[in-house]
Amino acid sequence: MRKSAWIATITAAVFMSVGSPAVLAPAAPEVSLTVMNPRGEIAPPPLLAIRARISDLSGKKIGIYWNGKAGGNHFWNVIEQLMKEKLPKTAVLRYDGAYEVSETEALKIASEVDAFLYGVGD
Amino acid sequence: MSGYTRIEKLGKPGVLVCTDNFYLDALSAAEDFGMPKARLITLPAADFYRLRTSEKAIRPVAEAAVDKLIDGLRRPLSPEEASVTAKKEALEPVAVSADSYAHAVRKFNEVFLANRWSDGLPLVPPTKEAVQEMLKGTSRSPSEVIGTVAPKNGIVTIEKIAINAVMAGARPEYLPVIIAAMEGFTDPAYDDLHILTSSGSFNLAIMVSGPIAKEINVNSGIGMLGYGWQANSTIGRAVRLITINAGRLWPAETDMALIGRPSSQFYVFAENHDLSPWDPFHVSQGFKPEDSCVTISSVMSSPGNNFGGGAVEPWTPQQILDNITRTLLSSRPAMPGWKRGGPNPGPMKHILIFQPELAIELDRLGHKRPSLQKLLYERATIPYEQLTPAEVASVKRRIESGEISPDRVPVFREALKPGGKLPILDGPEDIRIAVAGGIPGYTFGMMYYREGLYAPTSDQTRKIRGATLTKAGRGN
Repeated sequence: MRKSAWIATITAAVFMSVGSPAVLAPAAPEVSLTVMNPRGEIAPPPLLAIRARISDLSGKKIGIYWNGKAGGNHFWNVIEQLMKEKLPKTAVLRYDGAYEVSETEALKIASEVDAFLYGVGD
Repeated sequence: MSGYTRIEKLGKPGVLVCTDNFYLDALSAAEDFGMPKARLITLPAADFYRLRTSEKAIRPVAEAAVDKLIDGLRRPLSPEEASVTAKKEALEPVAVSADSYAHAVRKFNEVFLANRWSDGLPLVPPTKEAVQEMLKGTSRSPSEVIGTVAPKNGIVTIEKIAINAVMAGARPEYLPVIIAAMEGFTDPAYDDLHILTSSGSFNLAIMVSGPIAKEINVNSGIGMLGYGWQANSTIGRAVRLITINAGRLWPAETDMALIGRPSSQFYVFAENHDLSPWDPFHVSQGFKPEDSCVTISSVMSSPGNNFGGGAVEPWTPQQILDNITRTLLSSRPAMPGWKRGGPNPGPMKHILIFQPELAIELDRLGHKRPSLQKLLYERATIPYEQLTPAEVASVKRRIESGEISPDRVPVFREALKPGGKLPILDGPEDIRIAVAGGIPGYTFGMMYYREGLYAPTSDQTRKIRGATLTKAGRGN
């Protein structure tokens, strides 16, 4: 890279010393630097669209998952009360657990609800 | 986040709720789990965190959100939501040009920072020649895959490590150490996700032990966590850059550390074998004394627990051990909430860095590392009669749920009887002891949960191998 910089500099100097300013514009010597890409490749996971929504929630069961982050329970308690007022024919089921939901837990929740709200407290 | 996508994938429509400051982070996480069009509803962060202290206080936030949540479950998918396409990122070399070498380097740094491939400090250009020079430090193949880094799970190869090591200003002889650190960091059993992305300022300690530390001049004496030592500074910086470039970390987007991660080049130091009376730390992890190893360990925000020593106040071993015991017991208030995988996942593990004088004095008194682990473990106990009902219930729940390993259960059952003493730690091995620093020195500690939140371990020790430019660390 330094070598090419020197060549570019010398070339520009020669042109500037022999050429007429009217004919030769003072071309700036160009130094190029090529560097390797530092990023690691990502193997993208299979992509899925979200599931179709449920237009009428009457008679349905809605799960609420909270991961235990302090204070989130207060928010979800009020949401549960409000949903029961707004959707009196809809049942609300509560779940709480870890930050990560295991496949087993997910299967359990999915088997018990028709739709769900998922809030992590952040 | 995994739960949202797991349940959606099982056929149930859901709404993901987060605060507006976490919107980009949640969107990114949904993408990582294969659902880039997750239906996200945000709550105003300025209200949520302040008002979540009680149902009464948070009610206005919930009242403002409830109709949006219901709508999120009912409103049909838009065409954009119904179709998802994968994005493929080109990872080609980058060319910049300018009217001088200095300006080209400046431009390269600007491009890398704009692309978020930098930590903000000037980088050394990773030209092909520079990377080849770096790779001379290892006999391992550049294409060898080491693992992936959270949260985006970018693949780390030996060549990618070398590229980032060049950028960090590391020397080729450091490369095997950086590789070993990354082997530990990318082990699927190690929870890198939490320390890289959490809203808390969790961080990483990197300790080099064995003869290679001296060969490459990793500081283990006075000032070991400070500036002025190329190995300490650039090994940590290389690991940081790899996490940025493989994990796609960026503050306030995928790294949500609210006040950042002070010492973003991590805490890199070496064990002081010249002044330690004991075997190297890695022997306690099953390696041979003559091996050279790297131990990576998740830690809280900073090495903040100073137990004593130093040049200002006189000290005795007894005082320092008492101070350590008090710190071990300091996690007691959290005990009722311990639950694997949650925000308060369980007991702590402690890394205790003994100043050489203390280690020498304790050795004179007949102590070795295992006897001190046992001593401190047994001192950090709570008499059964002083336990609260919530603490007793927590221990019982951990026993029943399998969170306490079967070989330790008898100890805890015995502790829950009159006259028993409940240990604050799960086992003596959760007290890691190493010797570092100069004379005089301080004895200090770093702590973290014994288990990660997203993976079972919070530290790893790896043997350094494949070195070509040092006497130590060669071979497999």
